[in-house]
Amino acid sequence: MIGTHYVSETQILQRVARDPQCRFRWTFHAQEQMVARRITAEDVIHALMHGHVMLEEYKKDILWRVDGADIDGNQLGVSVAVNESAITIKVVTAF
Amino acid sequence: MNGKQKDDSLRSVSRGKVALADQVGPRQEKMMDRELKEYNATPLVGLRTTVCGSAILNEVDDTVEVPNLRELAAAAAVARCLMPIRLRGYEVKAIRKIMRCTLAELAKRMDERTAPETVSRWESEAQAMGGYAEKILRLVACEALTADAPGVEYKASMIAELVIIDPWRADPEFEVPSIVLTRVRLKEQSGSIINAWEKKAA
Repeated sequence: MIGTHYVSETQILQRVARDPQCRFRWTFHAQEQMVARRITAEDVIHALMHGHVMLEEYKKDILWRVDGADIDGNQLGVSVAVNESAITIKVVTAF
Repeated sequence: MNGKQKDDSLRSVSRGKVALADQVGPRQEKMMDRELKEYNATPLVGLRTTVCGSAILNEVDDTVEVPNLRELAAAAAVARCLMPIRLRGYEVKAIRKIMRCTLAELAKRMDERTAPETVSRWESEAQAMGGYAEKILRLVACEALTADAPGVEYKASMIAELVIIDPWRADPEFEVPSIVLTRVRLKEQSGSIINAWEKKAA
């Protein structure tokens, strides 16, 4: 259920993504996926600014799986590692 | 999620951050970063773009960071609009997204009578864009993005004077030349120094 899970994570994500100082780091895997799915950084950033955290995964980083939409409103999922104190978002993949 | 669960999940996030910070201190992180002489920013921008310098590769994370990404995309879009080569469908779409417009918003900005479906057909190349419509599109895009692209010289008359060619008629395999951008520091009229992306001369 959107909005009931990971509320504070969603707030952190949206706050960091909307910060003009936010630095985005892109994995090569994410870039490959973006080319394959014909989406751009603007779509991913839009999804992060307006999307919701749906799942937290513990891998090399703590990853948040985000459900959002691209600029045209098409569903777009993004997996990110957010570093709130450094105002940095690492985009791991987009799907 | 109840209050306790939420607190636990927040704590686990904090713990993770501390653990990561312990493993990778700021000094070590710097040593892992390397500036790339050239970086193909096409996947991020959506237009064929090469960045000279400034893109940072983190070899441990296998990530790339491009500073002033918004400004990079705007500079690439303005530079592409000033290139006298017909815009391909995917480029129209990329420019629209850099403008952060939906199909309907771009159609409205171009002309009250332009339908969103028409813009969609231009993007999918189901319908060719007329020369006049293409110039209007370029003009609308440049006017919207030029403020974020101070390093790319633009005047509306440059669009009016463009003689747009269609190289795909003679060569269907033709590739649009990459837009090469470098990061520079510019002094504004107010005296403040800003970072901007400048188009490298061909």
